Amino acid sequence: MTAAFEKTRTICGYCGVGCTVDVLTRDNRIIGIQPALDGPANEGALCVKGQFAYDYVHHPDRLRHPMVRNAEGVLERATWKQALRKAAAGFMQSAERHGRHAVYGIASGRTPTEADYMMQRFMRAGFGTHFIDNCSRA
Amino acid sequence: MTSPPAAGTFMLDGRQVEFREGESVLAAARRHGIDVPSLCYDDRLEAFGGCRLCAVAVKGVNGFPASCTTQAQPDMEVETRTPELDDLRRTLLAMVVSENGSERLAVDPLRGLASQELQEAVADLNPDLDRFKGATSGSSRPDDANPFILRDYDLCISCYRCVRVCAEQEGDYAITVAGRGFGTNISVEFDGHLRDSSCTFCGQCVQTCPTGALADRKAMRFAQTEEPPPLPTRKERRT
Repeated sequence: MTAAFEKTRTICGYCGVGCTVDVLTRDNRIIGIQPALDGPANEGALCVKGQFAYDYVHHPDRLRHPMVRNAEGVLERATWKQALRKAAAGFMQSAERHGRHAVYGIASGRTPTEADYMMQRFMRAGFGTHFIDNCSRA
Repeated sequence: MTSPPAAGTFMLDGRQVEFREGESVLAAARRHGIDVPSLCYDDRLEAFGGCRLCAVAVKGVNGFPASCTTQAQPDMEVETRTPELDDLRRTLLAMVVSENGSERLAVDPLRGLASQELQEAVADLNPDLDRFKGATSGSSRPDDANPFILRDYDLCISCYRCVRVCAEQEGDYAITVAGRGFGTNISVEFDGHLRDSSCTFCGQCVQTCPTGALADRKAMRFAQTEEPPPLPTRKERRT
């Protein structure tokens, strides 16, 4: 039987564990994921997300660019600069109006330690709140 | 992972090879590039000694011990490929194949990482596939409409790799072996569905299955070699 797919060695994009996976593709489309038996972090194991949750990659609903709401409240395509400015203005407005604890940060379990450190500094030193947590607590 | 230290040497197919502390003859042989056939072996799991395909001849030992459960010892003399051993393996493999019927040996590689092992062993040893044709064990569970794991137990050869990986690697103990003889089947509590069990759908059972009896249902959407069973609809999953 000829192999009807290509295998590409990579690291799972979900959490910070960094499981090694082989992504199976055909015609430049993901058709499956297999764990790498020699992956140093996972030794052939995966979780339900790493193993099965890849349909988002080619999903038509997937956002391909930033979007912001216009004056009518309708989402419109925007540049990263516009989107980040809009988000920053929203955070600052909330903090000004309701106090520094009106803002709550949830760091991503997908990020490396350094990015998580930056996130907690952003919340603690930036907004002056200790309301910082991590999605992995759920 | 650090490897245990070398513990000595033994004779393997006429070659002096070193083995590591606690290493089985099978593990040492594979590390030295000697391909001993097996079906129930997964080097991440405790050796099971079920399929006996890895049987070897050890000088001074009666019979043919399974190399997966035989620890390498200093100065032992082991043969892995003799006409007598291959005869024995052919008989054993013919019995294994009779478990699922020779018609469905070829399965799509998208079923899982290890899914080609049985057909590769058959290609290697070329047993008489119809020699023990008759009763089979394991019945597929098309009623288990979970979206991830196809439970196609008609292909099951009762190697227990799924049950063992679930317990030893995942620590989940979601699946178990029920019944004896031809009544053997892989089951969850109350003979129910995976989603009503403690299964986390990690898929490790799928990836270690040597026959494709457990298959990656999502990848099977793209299978080319046969018509894959369709993914259940949302409604079917609820009922």
